[in-house]
Amino acid sequence: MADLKLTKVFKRYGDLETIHGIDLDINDGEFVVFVGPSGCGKSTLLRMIAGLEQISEGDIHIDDECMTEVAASRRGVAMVFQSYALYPHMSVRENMAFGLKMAKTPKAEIKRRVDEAAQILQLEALLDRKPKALSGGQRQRVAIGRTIVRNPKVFLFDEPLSNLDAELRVQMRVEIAKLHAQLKNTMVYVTHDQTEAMTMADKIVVLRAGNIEQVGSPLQLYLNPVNEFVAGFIGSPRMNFFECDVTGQSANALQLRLPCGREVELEADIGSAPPMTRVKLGIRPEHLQEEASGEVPIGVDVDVVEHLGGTTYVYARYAEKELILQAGGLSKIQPGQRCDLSFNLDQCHLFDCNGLSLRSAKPVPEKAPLQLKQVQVG
Amino acid sequence: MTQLKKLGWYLLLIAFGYVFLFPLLFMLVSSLKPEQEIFADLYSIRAILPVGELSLENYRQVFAKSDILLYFRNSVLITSGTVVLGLFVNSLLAFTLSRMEWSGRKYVLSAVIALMIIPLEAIVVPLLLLVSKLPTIGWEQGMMVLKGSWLNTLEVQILPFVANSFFIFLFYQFFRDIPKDFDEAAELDGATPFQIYRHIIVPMSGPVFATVAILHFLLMWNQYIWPIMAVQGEDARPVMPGIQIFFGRQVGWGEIMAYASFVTLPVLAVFLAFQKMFVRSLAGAGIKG
Repeated sequence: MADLKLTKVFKRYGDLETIHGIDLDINDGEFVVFVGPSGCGKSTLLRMIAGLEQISEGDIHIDDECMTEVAASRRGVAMVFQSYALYPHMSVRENMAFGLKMAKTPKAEIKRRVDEAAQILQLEALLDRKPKALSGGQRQRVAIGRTIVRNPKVFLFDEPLSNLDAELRVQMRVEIAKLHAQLKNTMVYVTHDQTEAMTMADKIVVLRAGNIEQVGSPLQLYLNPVNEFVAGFIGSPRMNFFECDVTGQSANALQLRLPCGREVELEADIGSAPPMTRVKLGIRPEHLQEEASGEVPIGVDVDVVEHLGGTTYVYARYAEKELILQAGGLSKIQPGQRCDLSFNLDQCHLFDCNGLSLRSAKPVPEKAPLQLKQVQVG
Repeated sequence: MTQLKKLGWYLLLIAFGYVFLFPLLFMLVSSLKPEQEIFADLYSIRAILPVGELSLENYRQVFAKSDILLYFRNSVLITSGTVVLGLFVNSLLAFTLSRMEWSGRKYVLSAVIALMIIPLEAIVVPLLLLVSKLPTIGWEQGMMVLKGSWLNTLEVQILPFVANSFFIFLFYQFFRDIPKDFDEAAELDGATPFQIYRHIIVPMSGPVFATVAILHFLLMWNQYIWPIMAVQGEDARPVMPGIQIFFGRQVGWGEIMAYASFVTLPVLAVFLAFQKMFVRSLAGAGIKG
């Protein structure tokens, strides 16, 4: 178990700089997820932690020990690859034992550790099989088992679930979460899937174009995104954004004209910011209401309705822009319909012309628990 | 495809097969027949059928009239030595070219590719000059001494042919298609580059090793020009120059066929032993099996 500290870490390929001076602290035992769109540098950052990529500038410390110039095999990290990277000519047991064999571990100790890891991951019956005789989920567990046997300080996961089908992905997410709870090791997990990030992480690091946009717990990022990018990236379906004209501005409020012409006033910590002419209003699909009973009613034209059973996604147009509503499973909205939705102002986010947050939504109060009435039968 | 068309194609393929197989079958069958019968059967189907007075007399004459067993032994030593060393050396260089970053790598790769077009005949004279000046290692009274030259030795027929640019390139192409994830996983597992080569890459590269083994074997077993130039004495002579010597003596066609059959059989045996991996390697176009 160990903490991890990145200090002003840069990565350059010739004249091209892909990671721009990242500072990050990861505490001992944390499950941290690097999330971001393709090409944001999350895998590169992970590989620099692993020692598979050279750091152009900056330092990496694991457990207060500088690992910047230390070879990958001596950093005390173990990695699960996206492609599993199981050696095809070796059995499951041999795959898991390989690292220990390279470290000249005694045979008895190798057997004990492999058996222990196999028990944790329910691989006992598969130890003599070759990787080609395993399913995707089994291969992934073997890849994880290969890391467990080495007792690393830090576990690294590079999009380990991206090759699995949807159902298996959900199952393996739970398995990895359970593993973290059991082993309590520091784990760094890379994914482009924000659902994985939200469900698994103690701390999420949102990356874009080689920079950290925000670091925080899943709820912090959901409730208080620091900018439009984080607000749009976290949450599924993504947040709805509308450009609004600013008709009035004070130190703690903005008067806005919505795209449909309606005027609203929103509290925001403007302070002495220069006068603004346009801002972006953000409202999450789950905060839009199916009826017009909210504070701000809006009329929309429905294009597509997706019924998922417990939820319904409605894709509509509002003032020529696409809008997504997350409704209940029994929603009666039909494609081609014109319907009235609404939202409450305290559920709105505001972003300035640079995409920076001016205000976040207030958390929705928890609903009172259902009161059950005893009913006499018969 | 209609039945008639199919029949036509089959007959055409049989004809082609006959053209390729006829010399081999004729050689094997004639090696078992006396000379008169070879000529009597020449223009009939009996030329490729093991019928008539068959015996091993021709082979007995070959063993009696030549040092074929010595030449055969030399060929086995030369070929196996070159192939074993060559598999190691060529694959190792290909491994560093395909999977490691080092300065000058691109230039070395370009040089390897450029060397492929230079035939042996173009460099055989300077090579002969070089080996004639190089001393060989010997032992005298328990001490290692340098003496003589490389000429008329087995080493002169092995060492210049261990590294081969074509085989390096074959290995390079195959290794390039193996995902680097395996190397990285092994590196994190604590493996050195040589351990990655030995424990990970080599076991995954059966088809290309089989291919190179077969091709290198054929190259060395059939070598003629270099042994003729570099070896004058009988002690280090391989089988192919031995054929020329044998033909120069008073021998019959049956004995010639017996000699040729004897030196061809190991080639057939090696190919049959490795053919599965060889064919898989060709079919996979260098992608790992």
